[in-house]
Amino acid sequence: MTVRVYDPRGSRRPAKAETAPRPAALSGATVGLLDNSKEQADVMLERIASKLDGQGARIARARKGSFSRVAEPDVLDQLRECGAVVTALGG
Amino acid sequence: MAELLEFSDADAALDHYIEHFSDGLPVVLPTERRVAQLLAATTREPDFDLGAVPPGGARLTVRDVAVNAVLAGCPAPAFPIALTAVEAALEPAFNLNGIQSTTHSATPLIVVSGPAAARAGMNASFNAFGPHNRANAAVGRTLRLVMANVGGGLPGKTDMSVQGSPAKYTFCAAENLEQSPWPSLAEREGYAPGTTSVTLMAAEDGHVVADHRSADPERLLENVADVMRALGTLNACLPGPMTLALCPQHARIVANAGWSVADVQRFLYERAANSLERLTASGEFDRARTLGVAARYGDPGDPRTRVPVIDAPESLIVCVVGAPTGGFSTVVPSWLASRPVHRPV
Repeated sequence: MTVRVYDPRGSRRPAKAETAPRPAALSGATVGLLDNSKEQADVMLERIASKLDGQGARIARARKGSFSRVAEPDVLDQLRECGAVVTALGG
Repeated sequence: MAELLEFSDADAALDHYIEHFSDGLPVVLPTERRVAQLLAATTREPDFDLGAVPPGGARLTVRDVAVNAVLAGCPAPAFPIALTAVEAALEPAFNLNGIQSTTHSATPLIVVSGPAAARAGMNASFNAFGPHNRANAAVGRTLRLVMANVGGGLPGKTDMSVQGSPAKYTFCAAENLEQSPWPSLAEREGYAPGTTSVTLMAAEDGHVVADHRSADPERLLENVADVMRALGTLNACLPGPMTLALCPQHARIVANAGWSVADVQRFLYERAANSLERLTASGEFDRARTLGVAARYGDPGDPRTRVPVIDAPESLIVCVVGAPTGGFSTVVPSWLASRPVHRPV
């Protein structure tokens, strides 16, 4: 005999977010570097910034107030124009 | 509204639910009849929207809580308590998003204080934080299953906890009002006598404080303070909330000397502290953060400056839990980016 049971995953599930398409080239693009503010995230991001140096990309830096909380709206606003964002999670 | 999934038989449904919608332990199938039984135990509208559950962001209704409460094995009289705990967890100050995704072992500790706990069959006595009581187990497990099934907090996906903890199955007990020499936790939170409250704190596992020798409050609470000031907790370098579940025997020793809960909180605020000399030598010492915190309590350049593990006396949640048959209390450190929340049932 068939049984019917409730789905426990909530009533309205948000559409799955897709990641942005990869930029074809870094030249002329703005690359965001988001520091989650945990130990040594800045060290990793500076290393990436130095790797990007000379590839024609503009760097936009932003830092979360707390690594344990979601990024503040003004932090996300700083990254809105970026073609790509690299985030470093320290630890 | 929650969808109904159809299976060829109960065994097939059960296999699917244990595989995909459980914490690893068996669950009870949320049939229409069982969900309706829990919904009948509350006056809340089944379709009432309680908010989005982070980090996944699916919306949660009262019915969705009931579905997960059935999965958790919740008896109907305990459902209003489980529902209150879930609502409390969604308060912004609790930062459920952070608790769900942190690399720490944090999980909600739930303390239920008031007469509704006993009416729901909750255990406040022998083994109160342990297994073998359906209501205690199910109230904590309902919240955990909502976090996993609705919020999507699954290991390695969004739950990045390095080791996790057994408290993540369920971490819930009732306050032992019969054995407490003080006003209930609910009354101390400002609720009218007779009100039952649910208090949540983002918690590590509890750490036992064994003491069958101390006969006065200072000696006993110095033992508690020593557990509280352990360097490995996040509280050591960033003062915040903590919970102290005193066993009845310890509570009585303290109360018989004329001490109130506020006296206990003040004593432990002063004694459960570490000098900067000790903090810099080991543990989670971070120059910018720890010295910044130390400046609140003294000269950050002086190694003798003491940093408390709780950020204010009242940040210590004191409750009385357990049987009156021995001297074992429990200290529960917290996770650094969440504030405790409480709500009336």
